[in-house]
Amino acid sequence: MSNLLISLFNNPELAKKLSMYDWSKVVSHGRDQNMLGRIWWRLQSNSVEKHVPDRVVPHFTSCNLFVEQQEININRELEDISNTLVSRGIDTTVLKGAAYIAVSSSCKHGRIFNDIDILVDHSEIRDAEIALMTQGWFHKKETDYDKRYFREWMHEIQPLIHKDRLTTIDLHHNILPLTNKKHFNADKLKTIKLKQVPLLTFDLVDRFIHSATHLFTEGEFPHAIRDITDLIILYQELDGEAETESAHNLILERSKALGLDDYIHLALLFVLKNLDKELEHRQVESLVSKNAITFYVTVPAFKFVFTADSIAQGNFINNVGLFWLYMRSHLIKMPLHVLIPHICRKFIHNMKEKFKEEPVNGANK
Amino acid sequence: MKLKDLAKSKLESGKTLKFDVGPFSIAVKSDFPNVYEEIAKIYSEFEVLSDEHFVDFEITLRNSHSLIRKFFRKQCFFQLGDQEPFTPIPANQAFPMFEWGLNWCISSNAHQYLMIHAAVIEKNGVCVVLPAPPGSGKSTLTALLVFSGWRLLSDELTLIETSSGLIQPLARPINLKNQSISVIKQAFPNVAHSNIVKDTHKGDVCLFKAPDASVANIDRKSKATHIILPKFSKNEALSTDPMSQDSAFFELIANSFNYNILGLSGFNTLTEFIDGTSSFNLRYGDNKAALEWFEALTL
Amino acid sequence: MLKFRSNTVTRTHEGHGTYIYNIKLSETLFIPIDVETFFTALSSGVENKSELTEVIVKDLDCSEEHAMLAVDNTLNSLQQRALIES
Repeated sequence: MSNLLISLFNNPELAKKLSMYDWSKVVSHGRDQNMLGRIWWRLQSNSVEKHVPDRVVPHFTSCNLFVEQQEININRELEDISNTLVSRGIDTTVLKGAAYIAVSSSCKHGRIFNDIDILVDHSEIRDAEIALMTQGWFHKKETDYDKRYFREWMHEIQPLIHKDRLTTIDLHHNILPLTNKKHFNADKLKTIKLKQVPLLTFDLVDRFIHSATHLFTEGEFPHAIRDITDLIILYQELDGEAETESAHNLILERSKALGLDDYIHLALLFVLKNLDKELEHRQVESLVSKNAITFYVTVPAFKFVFTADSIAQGNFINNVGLFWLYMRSHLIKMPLHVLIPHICRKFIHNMKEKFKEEPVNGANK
Repeated sequence: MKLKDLAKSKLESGKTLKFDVGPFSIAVKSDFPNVYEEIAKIYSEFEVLSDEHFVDFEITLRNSHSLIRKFFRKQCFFQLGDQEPFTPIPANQAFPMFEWGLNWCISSNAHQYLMIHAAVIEKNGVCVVLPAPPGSGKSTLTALLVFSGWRLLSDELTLIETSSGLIQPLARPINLKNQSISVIKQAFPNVAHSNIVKDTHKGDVCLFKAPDASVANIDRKSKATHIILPKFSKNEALSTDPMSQDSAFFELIANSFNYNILGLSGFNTLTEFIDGTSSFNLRYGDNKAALEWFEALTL
Repeated sequence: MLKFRSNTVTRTHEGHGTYIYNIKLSETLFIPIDVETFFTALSSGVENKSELTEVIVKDLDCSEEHAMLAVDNTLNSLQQRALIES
């Protein structure tokens, strides 16, 4: 894997050999990919941060300040969420970034994220929504179509934003959209209790499964490198904790039980390649190669996403691959008879917006 | 070598300009020739960097990808690396967009500084910070003072080094709008400035080049001595109103970009910074009177 | 027991007052009392209000009434921002 960030992540000793020009690229791509904090953590954990030129260090330490403050903010938010929901008897599971902070996973180091992801039972989603609204979280203005899209088909409702603190909650009732044919009830996922607040989170195996499912059903990749390194770290954490069976076997078994092989095998393919686990990699490769489209189209497309320094600078074939992943993600999320009207509707909406006066004030997006 | 010494061939569309802006090394590339012209004029005294030099911010000001938009109602897109943080604006506003964009790059990333939305100037050891919301006349006042002999540290971004509490200069151009442009042009006809860009979301905009002496002293950090909140009100007599230290403290927080992100370090830096400063509300209606008042501070 | 909530930091500027910051709550506050010993007492904790009043009377050489008013106002402000341990 040739991406500069991945190379530095997998082999921190590389820091001793980088030129100032290389460091410019590390900073620029690292910033784009939200990887600056993670790279710095990696360098510090391997005691090579002193090889980072003084000129470059402020970019890493600045990011760190942000991450430290984020942790303080998230812990406060989780307490507030727990007081709001758990007190009303709504079991709440914390997911992704907020969960990594709550369990002090190695994944939390240097990781910046925008929203707090939580999951409640489908039957309780309306109650949870109302409870949060009483505590100051509100939806942005939404169209009727958006409402239906999210509530009927997706696995989450629209984001809730706190009126004063401006933090955002993504309230899920599942990890897969209702329209995904692999959809299953979220209570099949294994949870553990958090220590400091009465909230739940996924156990180590399902934490990997969730993150992998998310990444390998995505259609756009604003921070693919950050996401794949999430998986690498989660895999290593599981491997470190697993007592009787290897992480590899645990994940494969669980993937089969949940019917998520299509996504998890892909995830393992890339994670094992990065960790140089040749034997396991070959095993997964033979599983993945059973499907021609997956092996000859999807895998190379993902390979480009995880190895390019910048996916904006790909060639024609790369762009076709990216387009395939975009379409694949839509096909996964919903069957054709729902997808086609949805795409048509979105197209018409976008055309209408284009013919209106285009934003010409350089406003922040 | 300074930007003014660069060969004309290096100042063409598509070429990358690399130069230091105080503590930041930036690389700029554009599809628009006027961006190069304006940078060469306004940043003429800034040091050029070699190709291998480290870059803090890789900036691109590009044309639209759409074929029609490349020629009809041209737009300018601002990019930092691969990120596009803003919606596009008309292409004739590319140079102001560079300035606003660079402000954003610094204020969003440079957390080795506590950053305040304020102007800062210095003369004879008197270092004045002027926090001010839009419409207070801060930039016009800053321009008057700077072109009358005060050193410009910054017009928009006051950078307070968290390690030392000192202010780091940037000596970037002063951003003036609407009537202020003609006021300053008339008062100082020899000062270099960019073309006047009309009809931006702020009205007419013009960027006035910092004095050479301010750029030459870009590495001279200063300790703040005064915090002044100016308010221009036409024909009003000059009056000052001392502010309590804590009022000034919270005013700085209100105008800060990153006090909340810095947490304890922000608190420590700002409490250290405010110690020993004097603060005033300044109401004035006549520029000459204001200038005299400031001069009196330096005696 | 009257004590600052943990992770509270103070900075006293003579002639002005004391700036207070709590790391966990990200709260910034100013109290117009420049008696450093008053705040160190609160950091380590005191049994009751009169201990605090004593510190003020001693340092500012003012009446007990004035000191009590200052102490009450301060404790109110701090309690409103959840900066006193409960």
